[in-house]
Amino acid sequence: MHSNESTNILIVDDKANNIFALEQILSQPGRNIIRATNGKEALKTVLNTDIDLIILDVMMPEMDGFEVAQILKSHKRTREIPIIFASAEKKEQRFMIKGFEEGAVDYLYKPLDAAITEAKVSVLLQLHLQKKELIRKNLILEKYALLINNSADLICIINARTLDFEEVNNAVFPMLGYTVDEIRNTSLLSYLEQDDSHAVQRLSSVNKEKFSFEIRIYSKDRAVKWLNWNIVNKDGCWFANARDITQQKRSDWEIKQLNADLEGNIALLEATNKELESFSYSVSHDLRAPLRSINGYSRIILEDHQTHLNEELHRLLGKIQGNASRMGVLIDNLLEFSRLGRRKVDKYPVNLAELTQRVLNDLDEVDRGKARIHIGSLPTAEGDPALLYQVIMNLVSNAIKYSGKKETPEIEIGATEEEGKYIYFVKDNGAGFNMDYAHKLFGVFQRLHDNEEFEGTGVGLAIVQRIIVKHGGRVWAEGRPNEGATFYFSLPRPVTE
Amino acid sequence: MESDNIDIVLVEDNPDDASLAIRALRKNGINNSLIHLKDGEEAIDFIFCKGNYSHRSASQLPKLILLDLKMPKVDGFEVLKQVKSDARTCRIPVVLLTSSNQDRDILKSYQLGVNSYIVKPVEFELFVKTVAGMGLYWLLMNQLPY
Repeated sequence: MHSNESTNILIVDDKANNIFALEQILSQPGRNIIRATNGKEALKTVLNTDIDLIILDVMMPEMDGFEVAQILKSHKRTREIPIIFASAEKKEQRFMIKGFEEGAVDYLYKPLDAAITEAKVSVLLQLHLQKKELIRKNLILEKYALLINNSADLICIINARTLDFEEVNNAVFPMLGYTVDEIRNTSLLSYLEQDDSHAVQRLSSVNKEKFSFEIRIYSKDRAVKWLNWNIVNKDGCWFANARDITQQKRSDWEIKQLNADLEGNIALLEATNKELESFSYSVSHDLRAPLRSINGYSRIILEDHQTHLNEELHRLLGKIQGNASRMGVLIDNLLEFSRLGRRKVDKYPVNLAELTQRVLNDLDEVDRGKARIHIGSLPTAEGDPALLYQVIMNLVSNAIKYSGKKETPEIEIGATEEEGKYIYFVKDNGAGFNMDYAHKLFGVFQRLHDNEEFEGTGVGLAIVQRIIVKHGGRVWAEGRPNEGATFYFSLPRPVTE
Repeated sequence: MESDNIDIVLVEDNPDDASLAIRALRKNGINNSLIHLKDGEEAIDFIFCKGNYSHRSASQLPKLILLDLKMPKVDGFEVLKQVKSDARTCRIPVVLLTSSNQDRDILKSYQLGVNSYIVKPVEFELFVKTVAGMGLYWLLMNQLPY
């Protein structure tokens, strides 16, 4: 109680000596006595000051005590102020007071008995102050109730022994579909799976002061909700806060599932890689040996049975040997192509101009034939030097090969720049190709010319494509039959530039 | 059994490859005594005088072991490993003569101490040249410590 706050007592009487007499009786530390000599003044004071008790003379000119009381009782703000009527005539007043029986009202008879007066005043004051305190506390409680009911979390009080819900906030409806009345006095256990129910019962028997747990709880429509509970265990009650973590659990689960899928895919990929490796291993090892035998035995026939052979048999044996050799080259190229697929690309700045010069130096006179090769300006790109060497080598070799039958073979190597990338090209004036088949150019073992016309295995451009794609670029070609071809490849521009 | 005084041990599971290799050597005048063993197990028995070769004198070291990699039962790596990790045999030159040109095979062979790694060319003429050259080098030009 607010004992340090003084209480205000209003004494209303038209006679000053009456007021003085009451002051003598009631004067006490902590009591503040305010005087009013008529009804109007009394009402004014009550409106402006927080009054805890009024002692009201009944017989006053103009507005008597009952009239004043009636006005006070009809206003919400002043209705609760206790009133003690002071009157000389005992009989009449008893009858008149009837109308004020409700609420804190009492009466005193003049002449005033000091002890009775003080007793009545102090009782009414006490009651009034208690009531005020109660109202204040209720206001606070109402705020808390608002807070609690506004929470999206389930807040409740559960009997620690029976596990019945004693109190529960409004969140129970959106969360579980039950109204507060439906769930009150039912057991938490009745909404749980058996194993969760056992777990909660174990916690109940352990009787710790503070704990938390996660359980699944069935909503009214039999959906499962994951709730995270935080419990304070006090006086036989669980003061519980339960948060809906269903979404979080689902996300966790989905992430776990995705991770598991990913791991599965990686394992699959690794297995596929291993398989591929063992495949290329057996290709390289097992397919070569019979080829060598085909070659070797044809050779032995040629060497050891010379006298039995005519020209036609010579030619046919030559065909056998030639084809066996070609198959060896095909296997080599295919293996190289598959090795590329698994190779990691190391990126460094690569001076394409120097690289191209190196390719040309590595091609000997015979390779280059009579081709005139012109190199334009080639910007430095980022990539794997060994792989880009291979690209240039394949493209330039192709250009030399396919222009080799021209009177004056000419090859141009250059580059252009586009947004965010460099486009390099190798152009020749050779055999060219029909654009209708352009999509076949970069496929493995795809060829647009037969082997009689131009030798090859159909792997070179597939290798070029694989390398460039691994560098984040693109390859394409333009050409016309007998009017040459241009092969383009793009590389991302280095970010540092 | 003519298993004594052997200069060349050819370990090769493919009989065609073996006969082509032998022919290549003979055609090029390398007439050293030679034994053809059909897998790694036989090779180990021979080199360490075990099993069918228990009567062989271990002090007679061959001048050259020609070894294929991929063979049934015991492969070339295992033979190489045992030869090179035994003090009695580690000085015998071992040349791998294989169809495999896989980087990891080459690397592993050298880690195990191979003296030379030769990929059998597919083309017979080249194969003959390679085998002959290899034979001449190891049997005529090379100096052995024993």
